[in-house]
Amino acid sequence: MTTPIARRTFLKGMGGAAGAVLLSSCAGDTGGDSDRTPPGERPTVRVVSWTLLGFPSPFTYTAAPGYWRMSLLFDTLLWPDSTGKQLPWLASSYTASDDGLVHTLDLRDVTWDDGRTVTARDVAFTYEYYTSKTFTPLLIGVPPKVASLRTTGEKTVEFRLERPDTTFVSKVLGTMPIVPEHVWSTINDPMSAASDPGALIGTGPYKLASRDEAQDNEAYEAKDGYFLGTPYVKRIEMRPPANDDPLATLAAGGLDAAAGPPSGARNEILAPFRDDPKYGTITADGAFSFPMYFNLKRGGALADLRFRRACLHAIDREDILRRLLTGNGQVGSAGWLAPANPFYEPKVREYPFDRTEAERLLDEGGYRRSSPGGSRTNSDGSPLRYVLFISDSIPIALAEILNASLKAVGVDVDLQRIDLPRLFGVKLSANYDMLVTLYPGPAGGGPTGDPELLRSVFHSKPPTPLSSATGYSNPEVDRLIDAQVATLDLEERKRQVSQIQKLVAEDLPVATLYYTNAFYAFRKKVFDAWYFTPGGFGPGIVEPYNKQVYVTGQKTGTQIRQP
Amino acid sequence: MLAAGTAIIVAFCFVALFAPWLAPHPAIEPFGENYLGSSPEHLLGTNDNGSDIFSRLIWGSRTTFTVVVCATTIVLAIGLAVGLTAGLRGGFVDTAAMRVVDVFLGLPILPLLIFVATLAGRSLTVSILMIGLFTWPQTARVVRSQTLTLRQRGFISSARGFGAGPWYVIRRHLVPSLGPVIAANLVFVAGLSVAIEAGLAFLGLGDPMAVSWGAEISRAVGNPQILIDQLWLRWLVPAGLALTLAVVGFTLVGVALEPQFNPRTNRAR
Repeated sequence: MTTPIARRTFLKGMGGAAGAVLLSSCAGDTGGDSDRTPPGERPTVRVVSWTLLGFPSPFTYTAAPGYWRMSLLFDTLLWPDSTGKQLPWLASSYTASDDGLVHTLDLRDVTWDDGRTVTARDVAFTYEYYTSKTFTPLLIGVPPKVASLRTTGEKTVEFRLERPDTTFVSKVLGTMPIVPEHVWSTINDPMSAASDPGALIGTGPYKLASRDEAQDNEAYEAKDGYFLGTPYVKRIEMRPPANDDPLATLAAGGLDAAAGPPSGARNEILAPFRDDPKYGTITADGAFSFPMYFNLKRGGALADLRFRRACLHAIDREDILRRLLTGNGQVGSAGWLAPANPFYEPKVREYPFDRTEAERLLDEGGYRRSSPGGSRTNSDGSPLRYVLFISDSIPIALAEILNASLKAVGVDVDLQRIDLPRLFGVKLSANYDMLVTLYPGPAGGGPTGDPELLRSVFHSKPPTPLSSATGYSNPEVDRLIDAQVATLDLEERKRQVSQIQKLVAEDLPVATLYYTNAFYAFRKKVFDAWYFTPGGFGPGIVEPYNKQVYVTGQKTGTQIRQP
Repeated sequence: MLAAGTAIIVAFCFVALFAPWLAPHPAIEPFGENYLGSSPEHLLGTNDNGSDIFSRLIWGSRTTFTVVVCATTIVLAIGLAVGLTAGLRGGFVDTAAMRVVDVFLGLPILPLLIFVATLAGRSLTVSILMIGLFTWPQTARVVRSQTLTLRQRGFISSARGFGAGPWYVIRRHLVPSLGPVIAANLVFVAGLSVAIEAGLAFLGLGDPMAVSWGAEISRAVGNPQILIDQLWLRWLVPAGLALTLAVVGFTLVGVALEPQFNPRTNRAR
């Protein structure tokens, strides 16, 4: 005989069950003491995964996260630690001639995963392969053609440059993953090996243990026979964050380390990690920026310096930082580089919030208001109105502020919020009036990186139009950018970079609105040595996934920490 | 059901029409202190830019109202034109028009709207046009079937026999007779418009600067602070409730009207 259940009891029961399911799904692993890595054991760390990173071979990954994932399987000749210093990695020694033209490296006695020996010929082959093939545009870290290369023995390679290059060590020796000639010499089209496990034969500290592309899950196991010793971190698991929120997933126990959003975060979001002793946190000031691009090619007001300066004067960037980020950021320098950059020049022209000055500049430019408080018009009577593209990763609150700030001085903008791939398309094709996006985008690097990044923004012949100031050309800026990369004297280079910043701040082809800080939180009991590499690792990657820390368990050197 | 639905719709229209007088604050500017809690000054607190959430809820009804009015007008115009033409002319015109209607009815509307919105850009005009241009076939089909029925009625035949032209017949006899059926159908379309507009705005495919309930839900859900200080209770829930209430209102009226004007529903009873 069945007992009838009262409606109220049934509803209570269902409500309780639903609540329990909801809570359990939110809570996940509680991340309590059970997470502690037992003494004597090497840790497993769970970090965030990304979508669409491609196959992790050196020629088929995409974007910055794809590079650092690939770097677990392949090694470079040199590799940086937390000081930013490039350590001998595959190379056992590295010397450079006083004139900076000859770079000689001796290789360690290392074998590929298939047991064959790594030779100088593999290094030469890798460089030739990189410089003779065409890769997907999203493959970053492709070394520039700055060197000739010869092998002077079984284990010795010598790069000879045509002229000194301050970025050679980081861009080539510290970024180019060395691949086995006996594998890749038979592969003419790199993309044809996009699912071939043989293409993952490398020397790296980890091996791919599992990969589920549909679920964005990957796991990497430490190699016992790694040439520096068995890596300290035993296993790296990459998994997608719940609801695209890595910090919330960390708090719920689904990850052991997670980054805050590049667009920045307020104190209320960061406080649970800063205040809880079970978490460690690290911060990199000014790691990202929000530049506002003006398409100078379009002419009209966009090519008018007074208009561009007025736009920046019209925006209260201090208020934006306080309002959106509770101060976790810095007002943008018109010289592009962030204050945390060693090459930052503070004495550039500034554009503080000043609506009166903005109005004066616009009046001076002949952009008259159609009525008191109304919109402005060009001198020919056409409306002063532009389309402003913003990426949908930018907070809508910022879009509202920009819209209102420009409108307040009589500049109308038609705000178009589009997804990142479309925004990149618009930028690459220079099919825009004004545009605000998050820098540096998918390619790594950032306003705290090596000042050579100024080439990609302000040189009249940029390597790619993705970050370039469209239509901007200043021969003196070009000359200084070309000169600084070949200047080995640090103080002289700083003077040149300082001059570039002053010039571009005067010309203002791009206006950096503000910088945001990179934030990273982690469970100390699991693994506690995380750091941001100064200037980034590989092609300037800001995120704290430098493999040096996985391998050694320490922030500096190549000595592996004992569990 | 009819009374409840009508009350909701009337209240919704009243709020939308008198928003400037009902809302205690502007929708966006001036930007005040953000993330304030509930107070007599800000009944539901303020959002991430310091705008009054309660006022935005009221202003949001205007966007929804605009979309409903404009989209249903487009649906009415196209549905009436296609349905009447097909029903009156018959033959090849009828067959061709109904095949076009079949094609439109067979299209998966939401994925299609997302696809078109992505290509066409994000603005309120695009949202209105898309809703209007993709939801008219049902109205056209109803109008056509009713026209076919009415065409056989004695008063239409008599009017034609006395020399009345097609425009006269349409204006004088058909439209008045079709009115209640069209009204019932348009109420459903209105409810659908509310839901679709909110869906597009939620997916970020609406006008980024428009204040609408769907956009508010999207913005609230995407805000990393939504779970702090019960912000979700003041921001997400009211917008969701307003949206639900509007859709329910239109649905109640539509369901209540349908049996009176849909012969098939009457037969089923």
